[in-house]
Amino acid sequence: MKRNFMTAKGVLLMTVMLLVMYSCKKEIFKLSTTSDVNITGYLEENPEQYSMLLQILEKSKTQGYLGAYGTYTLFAPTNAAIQTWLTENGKNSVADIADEDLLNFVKYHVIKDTVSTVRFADGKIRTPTLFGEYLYTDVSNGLYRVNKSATISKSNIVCGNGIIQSIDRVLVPPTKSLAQLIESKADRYSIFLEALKTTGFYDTLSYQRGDNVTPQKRFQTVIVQSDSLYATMGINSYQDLADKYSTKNDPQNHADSLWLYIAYHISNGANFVQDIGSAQSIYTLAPGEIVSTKLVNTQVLLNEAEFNGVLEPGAPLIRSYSDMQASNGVLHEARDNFYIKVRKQVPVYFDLADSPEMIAALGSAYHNAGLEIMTNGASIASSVIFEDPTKSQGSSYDYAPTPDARRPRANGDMLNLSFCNSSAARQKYVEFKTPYLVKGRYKVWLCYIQFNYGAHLQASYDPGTDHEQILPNIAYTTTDLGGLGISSTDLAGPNSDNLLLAQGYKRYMALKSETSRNGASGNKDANGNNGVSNVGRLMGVINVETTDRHIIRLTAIGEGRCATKNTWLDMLHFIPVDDNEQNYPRFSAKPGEIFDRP
Amino acid sequence: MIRKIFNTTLALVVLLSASSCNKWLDLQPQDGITKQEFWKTKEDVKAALTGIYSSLVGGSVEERIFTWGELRGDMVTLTLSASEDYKQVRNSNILSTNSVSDWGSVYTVINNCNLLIDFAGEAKALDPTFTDALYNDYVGEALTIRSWMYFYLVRAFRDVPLKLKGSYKDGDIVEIGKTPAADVIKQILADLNKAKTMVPHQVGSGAQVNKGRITRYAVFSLLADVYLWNEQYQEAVTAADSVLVNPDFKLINNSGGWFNTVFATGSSAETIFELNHQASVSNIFYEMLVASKKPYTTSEFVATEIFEPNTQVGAELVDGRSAFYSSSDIVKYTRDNPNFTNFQVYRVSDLMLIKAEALNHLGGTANGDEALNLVKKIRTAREALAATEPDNIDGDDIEGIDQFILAERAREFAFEGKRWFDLLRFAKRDNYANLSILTDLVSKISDTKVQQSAINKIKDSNSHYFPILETELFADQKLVQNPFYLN
Repeated sequence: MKRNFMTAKGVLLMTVMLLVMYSCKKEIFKLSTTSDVNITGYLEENPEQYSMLLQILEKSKTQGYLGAYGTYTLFAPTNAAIQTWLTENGKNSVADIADEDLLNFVKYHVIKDTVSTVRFADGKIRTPTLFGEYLYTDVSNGLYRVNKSATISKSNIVCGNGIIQSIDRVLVPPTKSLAQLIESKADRYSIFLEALKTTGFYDTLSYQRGDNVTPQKRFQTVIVQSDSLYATMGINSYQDLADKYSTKNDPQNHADSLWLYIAYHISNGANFVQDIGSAQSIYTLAPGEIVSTKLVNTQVLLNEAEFNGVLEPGAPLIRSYSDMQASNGVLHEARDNFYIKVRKQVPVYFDLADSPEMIAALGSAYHNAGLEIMTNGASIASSVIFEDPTKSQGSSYDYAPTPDARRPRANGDMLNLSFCNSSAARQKYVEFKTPYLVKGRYKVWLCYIQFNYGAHLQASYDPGTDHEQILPNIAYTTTDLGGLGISSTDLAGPNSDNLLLAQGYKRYMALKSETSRNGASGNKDANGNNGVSNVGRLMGVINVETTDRHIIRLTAIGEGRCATKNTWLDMLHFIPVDDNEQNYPRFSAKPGEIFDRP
Repeated sequence: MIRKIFNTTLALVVLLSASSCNKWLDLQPQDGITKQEFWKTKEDVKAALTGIYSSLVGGSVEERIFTWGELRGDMVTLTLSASEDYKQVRNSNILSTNSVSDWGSVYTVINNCNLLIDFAGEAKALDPTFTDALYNDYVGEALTIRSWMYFYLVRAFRDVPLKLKGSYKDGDIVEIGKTPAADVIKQILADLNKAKTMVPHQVGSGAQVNKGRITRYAVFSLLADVYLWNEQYQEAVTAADSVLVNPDFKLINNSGGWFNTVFATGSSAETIFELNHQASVSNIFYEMLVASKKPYTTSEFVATEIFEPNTQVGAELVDGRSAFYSSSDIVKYTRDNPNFTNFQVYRVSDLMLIKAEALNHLGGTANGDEALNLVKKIRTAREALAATEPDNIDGDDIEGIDQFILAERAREFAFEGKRWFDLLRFAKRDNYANLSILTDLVSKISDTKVQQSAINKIKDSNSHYFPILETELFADQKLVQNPFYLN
């Protein structure tokens, strides 16, 4: 008995002790990995907002899908939104709608990705909905909108399996195809519509969901022009347009200029204004013809280009009539007429340091001072693309106010690059974006300044594309004109240009004896130290298939000695193959001087 | 036997309970120094004042000032090392979880000021050697720094919690909600007008002290800046004149080694108030502007628009101020690592341009001419280029002079954390008469893919102010989010 009492007392004490120990701090352990509910769970917690959406999920048997783990974005219409939608469609309740239609409803509201508003752009959401079509987002009155109709009333609700964006209107997939959409605006686009019909494009732009089409034609982009625009051009009817453009009187013929004109207004893929503005060029259905694009301030301009020093103003897209969604693509309207320009091939003398992008990036250093062109792990100008701009050895823009007698640079400047085939610190290749090149075949000349440890360079045209061309010749930038086996006497002789040309070389800097268009004189000797260091090297011939700006890549090859900033590049010349004049004009260190054949 | 178990257990219980919760025996609060222990002599108050200055130069405050003032402007751009939060701000894509709107370090300084203001009086009562003059100086400096911090908050967030009492223990932390911007400004002006009579013209000896600490001139400078923001132009002119009247503050010519004297060396004749690093700890500008993983670099607009080069005549000339970026690095704070360059808060050129801007808005040809004259004095000293000089501008061209001053401020205070606030001040003037300044701005700096969204957002003036950080909303239930960030 006593022993029992003792035990009881012991137990009591132990209990007290335990209580005291735990009285100070209570720790509650979480038993689940996350307390976030899944999407379905969130909707269930907020029935006053989403009970009708839940009914739809239930009836379409997608409730479990959105309750399971995964990565989804649900655009969740509120009860009020669904009620409005039902009323508009003459239905009383969700039960009146077929299960299949509800399934499509859900598919159009779900993206299999987590898309928070920070990933919205002015245009399509990159991932299509489960329905297979894109949603369009923009901002209106400071709020995000979807498909230009539904406003996001509560954004970025994070759930365990994705994100909910609450919207105040139901999203309805566009009902009209591009052809029908244009037809529905016949009062605005009657001439263009008629041309679509006669050229046969009307049929290819018609689409019914479920139609079997090739994937690249599933979405198309059409840029139309309004009747009022045509009226300003003196075109008042389809017949006027046909008279102006149709060369063979057969608009269905792919060689007829009217067919080409309309084809030039259509491209494959769903390209919203934002996509067009940042694409730089879009390939149209007219074979080999592109529309160049540019974003200037807030305007997207089509075909604005500087050609032969003349600025051709572009045709802006009218934003309020653009980004019109159709079931098979997007419709835009241009403010000015744009068409395929027939251009004559012209030679292009491209000073590598003088691309518009480079001039803008150089700012006050342009024609003034040197500047590193690879900083903070990036090129300063989008027209010069480094293999890896984070490599340690830099490249620069060099400018010499007083021209060097031995190694002058055309227009006073050059790019001084760190090239190497076998070093982790220098570039294996560097790419240059050319000025506009008109369709045709060109001889490509690399004009360099010979220097101690320059790289051995090979050129390729549009690398990585399906029209890549690799040029056969190598420019040994350590070699000068004196190293070609032509005697010093011959270099000074009257036949020297031909001797050089026979070996694929030329002079590109003007000789002392030559005079520029402005009356300035050149500063190169014909031979000797001050004559041989500026070298034009024929890299090969390219076939330019589309009139556009293209890429020339220079790759360091072989085991040439190479060192930091020892490859000095000055110009690229693109001279039509048929042009007999490959030697002139020449250039000098004085900016802007051009020397024609004496 | 029983007794033994009993005693042992009892001892154990006492021991355990004592150690598991040591509040039992210690009567002092664990979460702060008791005020009775600290505020006893004038030296204690001086130490608290030093504490305020060291909380300013510790890095996180300057990082906020620079980021709030430059990130949304057009002078800097982001490198690949910049955080995602920074990039979202550039694209006007700010969520209430964005760390850029963390104001913690600024409120820390405010609290330090509040404590000094609250308790300096107790020390004065205990310490007979604590003179009225010294007391006024210390409290006036704290009032001014608190006002300066609130001025940043009100420009970055608009309505903010106005806390004027110090917290020195957990129990002091109360939920206070937001105060409208107009009332915050009212408080700032009242405090500064009080401080301008309390702080002396000289607070110590030597330039380092008199420019590194708040003086009466610094109070007037801040006062002029606040009046200008509040569109009280006559008051702004008067306050600016109270500084400019002192001939010791003068412009240093570009040819006279302006850059090195004012920035690299610091505490020059041009400076009225600066955060002093030369005599204290290194700043964070090496990490922010120069290091290989820095977030900021010069934007393309600095070379092409802000410091537009001469093209026709004198193409070789450069504006003395454009030396602040080279190869797109921002080197205004030198390339030193560690970096002890002072952070300039108010220079005499700032007061001249504040005065010019206020004069211009007072109207009249005479005022306009004087405004132009002030701008030209600075331009001459800096060897500004003809390309940045507007053609045919005269004294009654209010709009033209305005644009000239805004552009000149960009050049004069490049990378000093003032650009966004300048743009916002010019845009919001006269009920947002110049909103286009901001729409043009975002169309330049945001990614092309979100350009239209950014333009549509900036049209809502609520979006010009940062959201209150999500965690602050949880901590203070009375805080109401800026309506722009509610959806």
